[in-house]
Amino acid sequence: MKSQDDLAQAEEDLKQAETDLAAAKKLEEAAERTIETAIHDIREAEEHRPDAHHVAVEIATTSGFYPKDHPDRLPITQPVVEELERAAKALELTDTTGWVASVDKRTIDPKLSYAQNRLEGCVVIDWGPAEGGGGA
Amino acid sequence: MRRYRLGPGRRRRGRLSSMHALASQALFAAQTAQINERIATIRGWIINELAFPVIDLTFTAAGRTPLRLAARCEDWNSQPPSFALLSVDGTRLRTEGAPKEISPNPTNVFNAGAHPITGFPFICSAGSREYHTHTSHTNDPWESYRSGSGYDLGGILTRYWHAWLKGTA
Repeated sequence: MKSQDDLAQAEEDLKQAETDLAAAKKLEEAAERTIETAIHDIREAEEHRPDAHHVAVEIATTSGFYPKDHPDRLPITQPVVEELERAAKALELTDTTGWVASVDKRTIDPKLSYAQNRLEGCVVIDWGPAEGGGGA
Repeated sequence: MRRYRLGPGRRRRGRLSSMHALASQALFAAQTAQINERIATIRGWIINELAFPVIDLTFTAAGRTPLRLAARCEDWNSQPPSFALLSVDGTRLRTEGAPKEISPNPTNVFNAGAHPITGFPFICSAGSREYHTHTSHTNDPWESYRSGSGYDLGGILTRYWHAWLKGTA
Protein backbone atom coordinates (compact mmCIF):
# COMPACT_ATOMS: atom_id res chain seq x y z
CA MET A 1 0.00 0.00 0.00
CA LYS A 2 2.82 2.33 0.89
CA SER A 3 4.59 1.69 -2.35
CA GLN A 4 1.40 2.56 -4.30
CA ASP A 5 1.15 5.85 -2.43
CA ASP A 6 4.80 6.54 -3.15
CA LEU A 7 4.24 5.87 -6.83
CA ALA A 8 1.24 8.22 -6.96
CA GLN A 9 3.25 10.91 -5.17
CA ALA A 10 6.17 10.41 -7.51
CA GLU A 11 3.89 10.75 -10.55
CA GLU A 12 2.41 13.95 -9.13
CA ASP A 13 5.90 15.32 -8.44
CA LEU A 14 6.92 14.47 -11.99
CA LYS A 15 3.90 16.29 -13.41
CA GLN A 16 4.70 19.34 -11.30
CA ALA A 17 8.33 19.21 -12.35
CA GLU A 18 7.31 19.10 -16.03
CA THR A 19 5.01 22.10 -15.53
CA ASP A 20 7.81 24.01 -13.76
CA LEU A 21 10.23 23.10 -16.54
CA ALA A 22 7.83 24.38 -19.23
CA ALA A 23 7.35 27.64 -17.34
CA ALA A 24 11.11 27.99 -16.88
CA LYS A 25 11.64 27.45 -20.62
CA LYS A 26 9.14 30.21 -21.39
CA LEU A 27 10.94 32.53 -18.97
CA GLU A 28 14.27 31.63 -20.56
CA GLU A 29 12.91 32.41 -24.03
CA ALA A 30 11.53 35.74 -22.81
CA ALA A 31 14.88 36.57 -21.20
CA GLU A 32 16.70 35.71 -24.42
CA ARG A 33 14.39 38.01 -26.37
CA THR A 34 15.03 40.81 -23.86
CA ILE A 35 18.78 40.31 -24.19
CA GLU A 36 18.54 40.33 -27.99
CA THR A 37 16.54 43.56 -27.90
CA ALA A 38 19.02 45.16 -25.50
CA ILE A 39 21.98 44.15 -27.70
CA HIS A 40 20.18 45.54 -30.76
CA ASP A 41 19.47 48.82 -28.94
CA ILE A 42 23.09 49.10 -27.77
CA ARG A 43 24.41 48.45 -31.29
CA GLU A 44 21.97 50.95 -32.75
CA ALA A 45 22.94 53.57 -30.15
CA GLU A 46 26.61 52.93 -30.90
CA GLU A 47 25.95 53.35 -34.61
CA HIS A 48 24.61 56.87 -34.00
CA ARG A 49 27.04 57.92 -31.27
CA PRO A 50 29.45 60.71 -32.07
CA ASP A 51 33.19 60.27 -31.64
CA ALA A 52 36.35 62.13 -32.58
CA HIS A 53 35.65 61.60 -36.27
CA HIS A 54 31.86 61.69 -36.31
CA VAL A 55 29.01 63.96 -35.29
CA ALA A 56 25.43 62.97 -34.49
CA VAL A 57 23.21 65.29 -36.52
CA GLU A 58 19.53 66.23 -36.49
CA ILE A 59 17.91 68.88 -38.67
CA ALA A 60 15.09 70.87 -37.04
CA THR A 61 12.48 72.69 -39.14
CA THR A 62 8.88 73.77 -38.62
CA SER A 63 7.96 70.99 -41.07
CA GLY A 64 9.52 68.35 -38.84
CA PHE A 65 12.82 66.85 -37.78
CA TYR A 66 15.23 64.82 -39.90
CA PRO A 67 15.98 62.01 -39.28
CA LYS A 68 12.70 61.19 -37.61
CA ASP A 69 13.87 58.73 -34.96
CA HIS A 70 17.56 59.13 -34.19
CA PRO A 71 20.44 61.39 -35.23
CA ASP A 72 22.55 60.52 -38.27
CA ARG A 73 26.17 59.66 -37.51
CA LEU A 74 28.23 61.54 -40.06
CA PRO A 75 31.92 62.19 -40.71
CA ILE A 76 33.06 65.54 -39.34
CA THR A 77 34.61 66.23 -42.75
CA GLN A 78 31.28 66.00 -44.59
CA PRO A 79 29.83 69.31 -45.82
CA VAL A 80 26.69 70.24 -43.84
CA VAL A 81 24.77 70.83 -47.06
CA GLU A 82 24.65 67.09 -47.79
CA GLU A 83 22.52 66.39 -44.72
CA LEU A 84 20.38 69.46 -45.45
CA GLU A 85 19.69 68.09 -48.93
CA ARG A 86 18.65 64.75 -47.45
CA ALA A 87 16.39 66.56 -44.98
CA ALA A 88 14.79 68.65 -47.73
CA LYS A 89 13.98 65.50 -49.68
CA ALA A 90 12.62 63.59 -46.68
CA LEU A 91 10.54 66.51 -45.39
CA GLU A 92 9.36 67.41 -48.90
CA LEU A 93 10.75 70.94 -48.72
CA THR A 94 10.42 72.05 -52.31
CA ASP A 95 12.36 75.30 -52.19
CA THR A 96 14.92 76.15 -49.54
CA THR A 97 16.59 79.00 -51.38
CA GLY A 98 17.86 81.59 -48.93
CA TRP A 99 17.33 79.45 -45.86
CA VAL A 100 19.56 79.88 -42.84
CA ALA A 101 21.18 77.05 -40.87
CA SER A 102 22.15 77.69 -37.27
CA VAL A 103 23.27 75.75 -34.22
CA ASP A 104 22.49 77.16 -30.79
CA LYS A 105 21.47 80.37 -32.60
CA ARG A 106 24.91 80.63 -34.26
CA THR A 107 24.66 80.80 -38.05
CA ILE A 108 26.77 78.19 -39.81
CA ASP A 109 27.94 77.87 -43.42
CA PRO A 110 26.36 74.77 -45.01
CA LYS A 111 29.03 74.63 -47.70
CA LEU A 112 31.64 73.93 -45.02
CA SER A 113 32.10 70.70 -43.07
CA TYR A 114 31.03 70.13 -39.47
CA ALA A 115 34.64 70.48 -38.36
CA GLN A 116 35.09 73.71 -40.30
CA ASN A 117 31.91 75.02 -38.68
CA ARG A 118 33.40 74.08 -35.27
CA LEU A 119 30.69 71.50 -34.61
CA GLU A 120 31.24 68.31 -32.67
CA GLY A 121 29.29 65.78 -30.63
CA CYS A 122 25.50 65.92 -30.87
CA VAL A 123 24.40 68.68 -33.22
CA VAL A 124 20.88 70.01 -33.86
CA ILE A 125 20.80 72.26 -36.90
CA ASP A 126 17.92 74.71 -36.95
CA TRP A 127 17.01 75.37 -40.57
CA GLY A 128 14.50 77.84 -41.97
CA PRO A 129 13.93 80.95 -44.05
CA ALA A 130 15.86 84.10 -43.23
CA GLU A 131 14.08 87.25 -42.10
CA GLY A 132 12.66 89.34 -44.91
CA GLY A 133 13.16 93.03 -45.29
CA GLY A 134 11.37 95.43 -43.00
CA GLY A 135 10.42 99.07 -42.84
CA ALA A 136 7.31 101.08 -43.59
CA MET B 1 8.59 75.08 -46.70
CA ARG B 2 6.53 72.03 -47.47
CA ARG B 3 3.99 72.57 -50.23
CA TYR B 4 0.45 71.38 -49.94
CA ARG B 5 -2.11 70.78 -52.61
CA LEU B 6 -4.48 73.40 -51.31
CA GLY B 7 -3.62 76.30 -53.54
CA PRO B 8 -4.92 79.76 -54.27
CA GLY B 9 -8.61 80.24 -54.76
CA ARG B 10 -9.96 81.21 -58.16
CA ARG B 11 -9.60 84.76 -59.28
CA ARG B 12 -12.82 86.72 -59.70
CA ARG B 13 -12.64 90.10 -61.34
CA GLY B 14 -8.95 90.35 -60.54
CA ARG B 15 -9.35 89.50 -56.86
CA LEU B 16 -8.67 86.27 -55.05
CA SER B 17 -11.70 84.48 -53.77
CA SER B 18 -11.58 83.42 -50.13
CA MET B 19 -10.32 80.01 -49.17
CA HIS B 20 -13.17 77.81 -48.03
CA ALA B 21 -13.29 77.80 -44.21
CA LEU B 22 -12.72 74.04 -43.94
CA ALA B 23 -9.91 74.14 -46.47
CA SER B 24 -8.35 77.01 -44.57
CA GLN B 25 -8.56 75.07 -41.33
CA ALA B 26 -7.10 71.95 -42.96
CA LEU B 27 -4.18 73.92 -44.39
CA PHE B 28 -3.60 75.55 -41.01
CA ALA B 29 -3.56 72.13 -39.33
CA ALA B 30 -1.15 70.68 -41.89
CA GLN B 31 1.26 73.59 -41.65
CA THR B 32 1.29 73.73 -37.86
CA ALA B 33 1.40 69.98 -37.17
CA GLN B 34 5.15 70.04 -36.55
CA ILE B 35 5.22 73.28 -34.56
CA ASN B 36 5.46 71.54 -31.23
CA GLU B 37 7.40 71.48 -27.96
CA ARG B 38 10.40 69.85 -29.64
CA ILE B 39 11.09 72.69 -32.08
CA ALA B 40 9.89 75.28 -29.54
CA THR B 41 12.47 74.11 -26.99
CA ILE B 42 15.30 74.42 -29.48
CA ARG B 43 14.24 77.90 -30.53
CA GLY B 44 13.27 79.29 -27.17
CA TRP B 45 9.61 79.60 -28.16
CA ILE B 46 6.75 79.23 -25.74
CA ILE B 47 3.57 77.95 -27.36
CA ASN B 48 0.71 79.70 -25.56
CA GLU B 49 -2.00 78.59 -27.95
CA LEU B 50 -2.00 76.78 -31.25
CA ALA B 51 -5.49 76.02 -32.46
CA PHE B 52 -7.21 77.29 -35.57
CA PRO B 53 -7.33 80.19 -36.21
CA VAL B 54 -4.88 81.30 -33.48
CA ILE B 55 -1.13 80.97 -33.14
CA ASP B 56 0.06 82.54 -29.91
CA LEU B 57 3.82 82.23 -29.35
CA THR B 58 6.39 83.92 -27.15
CA PHE B 59 9.95 84.38 -28.42
CA THR B 60 12.54 84.20 -25.65
CA ALA B 61 16.32 84.55 -25.67
CA ALA B 62 18.97 85.25 -23.06
CA GLY B 63 19.38 88.97 -22.52
CA ARG B 64 16.13 89.90 -24.27
CA THR B 65 12.69 90.95 -23.09
CA PRO B 66 10.40 88.23 -24.48
CA LEU B 67 8.09 89.16 -27.35
CA ARG B 68 4.71 87.53 -27.66
CA LEU B 69 3.02 87.25 -31.06
CA ALA B 70 -0.65 86.47 -31.43
CA ALA B 71 -1.55 85.62 -35.00
CA ARG B 72 -5.08 85.26 -36.30
CA CYS B 73 -5.24 83.09 -39.38
CA GLU B 74 -8.85 83.20 -40.51
CA ASP B 75 -9.00 82.85 -44.27
CA TRP B 76 -5.49 81.37 -44.43
CA ASN B 77 -3.94 81.43 -46.97
CA SER B 78 -6.10 83.72 -49.06
CA GLN B 79 -5.07 86.32 -46.52
CA PRO B 80 -1.84 86.48 -44.50
CA PRO B 81 -2.10 86.20 -40.71
CA SER B 82 -2.85 89.32 -38.70
CA PHE B 83 -0.28 89.71 -35.93
CA ALA B 84 -0.70 91.47 -32.60
CA LEU B 85 2.53 92.29 -30.76
CA LEU B 86 2.21 91.62 -27.05
CA SER B 87 4.21 91.67 -23.86
CA VAL B 88 4.69 88.30 -22.20
CA ASP B 89 1.58 88.80 -20.05
CA GLY B 90 -0.59 89.34 -23.12
CA THR B 91 -0.79 93.15 -22.96
CA ARG B 92 -0.75 94.69 -26.41
CA LEU B 93 2.34 96.80 -27.11
CA ARG B 94 1.57 100.52 -27.34
CA THR B 95 3.11 103.14 -29.55
CA GLU B 96 4.28 105.29 -26.65
CA GLY B 97 8.05 105.06 -26.32
CA ALA B 98 10.01 102.18 -27.82
CA PRO B 99 8.66 98.90 -26.44
CA LYS B 100 11.59 96.91 -25.05
CA GLU B 101 10.08 93.72 -26.47
CA ILE B 102 11.01 94.92 -29.96
CA SER B 103 14.18 96.81 -29.08
CA PRO B 104 16.76 96.69 -30.53
CA ASN B 105 15.30 96.27 -33.97
CA PRO B 106 18.12 96.37 -36.53
CA THR B 107 16.02 94.78 -39.29
CA ASN B 108 13.11 97.24 -38.93
CA VAL B 109 10.76 94.27 -39.23
CA PHE B 110 9.00 95.46 -36.07
CA ASN B 111 7.47 98.90 -36.35
CA ALA B 112 6.81 100.70 -33.06
CA GLY B 113 4.60 103.30 -34.75
CA ALA B 114 0.84 103.18 -35.17
CA HIS B 115 -0.47 101.06 -38.03
CA PRO B 116 -2.93 103.14 -40.09
CA ILE B 117 -5.70 100.57 -39.57
CA THR B 118 -5.04 99.04 -36.12
CA GLY B 119 -3.32 101.98 -34.43
CA PHE B 120 -0.84 99.61 -32.76
CA PRO B 121 2.80 98.65 -33.35
CA PHE B 122 3.00 96.01 -36.05
CA ILE B 123 5.13 93.65 -38.08
CA CYS B 124 6.23 95.51 -41.15
CA SER B 125 7.49 92.67 -43.33
CA ALA B 126 5.95 90.48 -46.00
CA GLY B 127 3.72 87.77 -44.59
CA SER B 128 1.81 89.85 -42.06
CA ARG B 129 -1.60 91.29 -42.89
CA GLU B 130 -0.52 94.60 -41.36
CA TYR B 131 2.35 94.87 -43.86
CA HIS B 132 0.26 94.13 -46.92
CA THR B 133 -2.54 96.50 -45.85
CA HIS B 134 -0.19 99.34 -44.95
CA THR B 135 -0.56 102.29 -47.28
CA SER B 136 3.18 102.13 -48.03
CA HIS B 137 2.97 98.53 -49.24
CA THR B 138 -0.29 98.13 -51.09
CA ASN B 139 1.83 97.72 -54.23
CA ASP B 140 3.44 94.62 -52.67
CA PRO B 141 0.47 92.24 -52.42
CA TRP B 142 0.35 89.02 -50.40
CA GLU B 143 -0.50 87.18 -53.61
CA SER B 144 3.12 87.62 -54.70
CA TYR B 145 4.33 85.70 -51.66
CA ARG B 146 1.73 83.15 -50.66
CA SER B 147 3.09 80.34 -52.83
CA GLY B 148 6.70 81.30 -52.30
CA SER B 149 9.39 79.53 -50.31
CA GLY B 150 9.14 80.08 -46.58
CA TYR B 151 5.74 81.76 -46.59
CA ASP B 152 3.80 78.93 -45.04
CA LEU B 153 2.88 79.49 -41.38
CA GLY B 154 6.05 77.92 -39.99
CA GLY B 155 8.14 79.87 -42.48
CA ILE B 156 6.56 83.21 -41.62
CA LEU B 157 7.04 82.60 -37.89
CA THR B 158 10.65 81.56 -38.53
CA ARG B 159 11.32 84.72 -40.53
CA TYR B 160 9.99 86.96 -37.75
CA TRP B 161 11.91 84.97 -35.14
CA HIS B 162 15.13 85.40 -37.12
CA ALA B 163 14.40 89.13 -37.40
CA TRP B 164 13.78 89.40 -33.65
CA LEU B 165 16.96 87.46 -32.86
CA LYS B 166 19.04 89.89 -34.91
CA GLY B 167 18.63 92.36 -32.10
CA THR B 168 20.11 89.95 -29.58
CA ALA B 169 23.67 90.60 -28.48
